[in-house]
Amino acid sequence: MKTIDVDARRYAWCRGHAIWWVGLPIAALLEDMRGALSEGQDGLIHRNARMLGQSCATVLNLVLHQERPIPPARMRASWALARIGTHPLGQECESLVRAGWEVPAAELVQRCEHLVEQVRALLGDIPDPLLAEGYFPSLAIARDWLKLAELVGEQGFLPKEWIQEEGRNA
Amino acid sequence: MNTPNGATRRELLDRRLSGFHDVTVADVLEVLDYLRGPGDTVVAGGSLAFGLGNRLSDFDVVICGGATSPSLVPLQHWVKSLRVDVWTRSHADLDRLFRLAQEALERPTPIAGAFGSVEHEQQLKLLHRIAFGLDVAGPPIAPVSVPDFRKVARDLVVREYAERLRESVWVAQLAGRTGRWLAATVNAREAVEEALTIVLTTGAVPFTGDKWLHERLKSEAPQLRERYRRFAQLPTAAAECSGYVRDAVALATRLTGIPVDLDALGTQASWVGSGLHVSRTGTTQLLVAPAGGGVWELSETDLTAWAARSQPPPAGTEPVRAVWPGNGSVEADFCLGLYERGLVSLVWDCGVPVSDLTVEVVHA
Repeated sequence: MKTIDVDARRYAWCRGHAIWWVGLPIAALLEDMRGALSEGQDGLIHRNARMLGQSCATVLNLVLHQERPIPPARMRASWALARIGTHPLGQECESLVRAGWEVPAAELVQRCEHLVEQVRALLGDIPDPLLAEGYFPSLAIARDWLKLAELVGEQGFLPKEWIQEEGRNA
Repeated sequence: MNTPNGATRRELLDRRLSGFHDVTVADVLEVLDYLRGPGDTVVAGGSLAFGLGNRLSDFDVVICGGATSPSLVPLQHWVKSLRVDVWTRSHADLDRLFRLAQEALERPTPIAGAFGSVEHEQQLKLLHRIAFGLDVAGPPIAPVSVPDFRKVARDLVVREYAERLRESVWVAQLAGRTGRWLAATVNAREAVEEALTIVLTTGAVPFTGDKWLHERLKSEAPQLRERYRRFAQLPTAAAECSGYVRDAVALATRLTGIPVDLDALGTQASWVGSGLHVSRTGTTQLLVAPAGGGVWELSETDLTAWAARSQPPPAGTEPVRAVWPGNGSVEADFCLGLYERGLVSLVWDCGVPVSDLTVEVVHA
């Protein structure tokens, strides 16, 4: 038996959110970049690269420091990089957040793929919900983490419009 | 900024889907047939329908009918290699959505507090899919709950982004004043992009989310894209950061007319925290957030700022709130620190009416 050195609620909340971010938002950012590369849509690639840098920094802060809550999007880069900026993966996140148009789009895609691969490795095997074969396995993983969150008395991580009746049209 | 007619758009869409996936709109409709009732309308409204997108883009579709059950999440389908995300809504749902949007626009309060989950873009995108999407089957949709549904869709985006822009320029300048240069420059870059979204949307370019902004600028307003160029890369040296923030704020206000005076904006803003406590253990003062299991050590300066809060009486069973004015000088750094940790929210007294803006007109 291996002890997890953080209390159950914080572990479930931070890890559950990290799994969710890597599983869907980060996967979607990366997929958009891959698709954009062959179409010459470098504007999208530059924008997504910095969002991906910010998102991976957030995940690293959740996983390595169990930091919570997650601040609003406009403060996430500075929040996360204050803690993980000296970590090698954190340095790459910051470089992506700061990157301008002088960095070639193809290079950004390659760097983002490498970064996501390394961040995913910290979390174990997470299926890609954007692939046909990964859709249902990723739902199953999300369900596992939601059940753990519920068990320890924490709120889940799904967007509120997915789970709240009033989020639909309100 | 020009919009091709329906037949041309359908032809372009078919060509793109065919080139990327060897699929036509008719093939998609066949797969989705089980979701459609007689007389239901199918609207294509994502990036692919607006001449953007690529071979990995999903194809966003809204099915709308008199008795259609609304979907909470996109219903995912595959047509060969094309992923199709379907939202279902009834006519009454859409009427209600546009009416809510209209009401939100008429209220003086900020949109973010009046339109539910608008911050997640989903509802904004849905409004624009209906207003500017391509009807690929069934009768055209025209929500009847508001006089001009396309204007409501446009104005809601402009208002939402104007309120984001106000917050970005304020946070950027405040963060700069307290030496938080990464937060300052990140927010300054956001401000310029939010201003560009306002300009494009005012110029009748359908909203397709932040990720397509720069592709939109390429095709619709390349001269604006050039004005953005210097803001793409964030500087590191403090002196450069200071100039970056100043110039970004100046450009944002030139493009939109948004007020940017730091102190004046501060009078409209408050920092609001909930469930925060300060507890002394020996000589150490701790800020404690019991609900999230968080604890932080405070300095003497922090304690002075903490003491500057007001505590409105709690309503019902809600946790005690702490409120600081946005224009307070003693507590600005402390509150920004709490905000950066997600411990307080930034609340604005009023919204930014579209009529208050003077948006630069751009010709492609």
